Amino acid sequence: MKICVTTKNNGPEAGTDPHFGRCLYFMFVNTDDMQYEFVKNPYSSASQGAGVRAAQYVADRGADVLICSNPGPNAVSVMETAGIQIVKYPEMKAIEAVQKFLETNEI
Amino acid sequence: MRIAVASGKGGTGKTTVSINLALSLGNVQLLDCDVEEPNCNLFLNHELKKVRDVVVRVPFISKDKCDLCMKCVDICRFNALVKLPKSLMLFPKLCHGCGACSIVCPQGAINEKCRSIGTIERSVSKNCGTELYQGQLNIGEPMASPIIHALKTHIDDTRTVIIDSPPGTACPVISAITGADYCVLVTEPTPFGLHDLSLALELVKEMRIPHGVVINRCDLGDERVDRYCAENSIPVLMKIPNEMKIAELYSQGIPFVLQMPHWKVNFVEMFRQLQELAGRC
Repeated sequence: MKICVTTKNNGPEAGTDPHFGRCLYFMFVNTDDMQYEFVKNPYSSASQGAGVRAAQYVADRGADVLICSNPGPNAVSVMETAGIQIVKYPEMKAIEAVQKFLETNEI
Repeated sequence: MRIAVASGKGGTGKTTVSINLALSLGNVQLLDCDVEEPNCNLFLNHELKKVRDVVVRVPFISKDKCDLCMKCVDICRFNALVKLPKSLMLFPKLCHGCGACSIVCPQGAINEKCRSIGTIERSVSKNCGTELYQGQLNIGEPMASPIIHALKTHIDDTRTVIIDSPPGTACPVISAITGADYCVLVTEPTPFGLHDLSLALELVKEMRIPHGVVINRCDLGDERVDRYCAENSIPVLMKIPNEMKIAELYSQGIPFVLQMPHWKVNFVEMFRQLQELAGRC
């Protein structure tokens, strides 16, 4: 399964970003081998509709779960249509957020 | 002649100036273009009737024809369309109704349908001196400009037209003041007033609209607005003092020229001055 976390940075210490459409990076984690990669959010400074395009981007990359504390209503409706589970955690390190999700959810 | 009343900063007195100017001149058309919160009629109390709905055209996608080629998604500057693995999603409130998606669709899968975003209303009585038109944007709708464009189609250029603009310097303001013969910028002598005035001045200069300044509550704050206008050769058309009687009348919804007739003279004089400045006597 693939988990996407919105983050403020792009290193192992990166913290989660509560914003979705305008977060700076997405961290994608493949839970099969726990490999992760950071990609820059191409829509972080879109003039409008950042949330919907970022949601499409995350869906296109095959995410099954999104960890983000406060996605906007448009992004949420894209995620729901795409069947992506949204998980809301308070701000923490992105790696810890993934671990927390894996500990509390049977995959 | 079309006179736009604008400001950078909100709450400086655009509506106060618009209404009192309209009532001082008589027989004018007043357009309340602050369609997110039209408030001219709080002071006029005209009986209004709806003239029409304002609609924008949004795409309607035939799912059986769409092959998810994404051309519409790529062309949309406003990110109103999203392609998911099995479907296309439309976000109508992000759509500006430009029609590009239906033009580029190779499958002919996109038609357009009308979506109402607000209304235009006008005074029932056409003989009450001031004829008010106001636009009202529906709650939750983000785009004010189509309503303002629709409002301006009702302009009668045989009369003096006063356009009460929304605050700021963004799209709705540009829609409101485009085509004005003169723009009155209302400000207050405070640091915020000056800052936002300077932004509004950049806009009217760029748009090449002749302009002057009204300083409201002129005895508050400091001298910097005065100095700024003098240094930049911007005419100060009028100063309205921070007077208790004016504030009380405002709080009761009474335009102050109705009870302070000497101000009518001042507004008529200001009108003459700006006619000259606009080059139309």
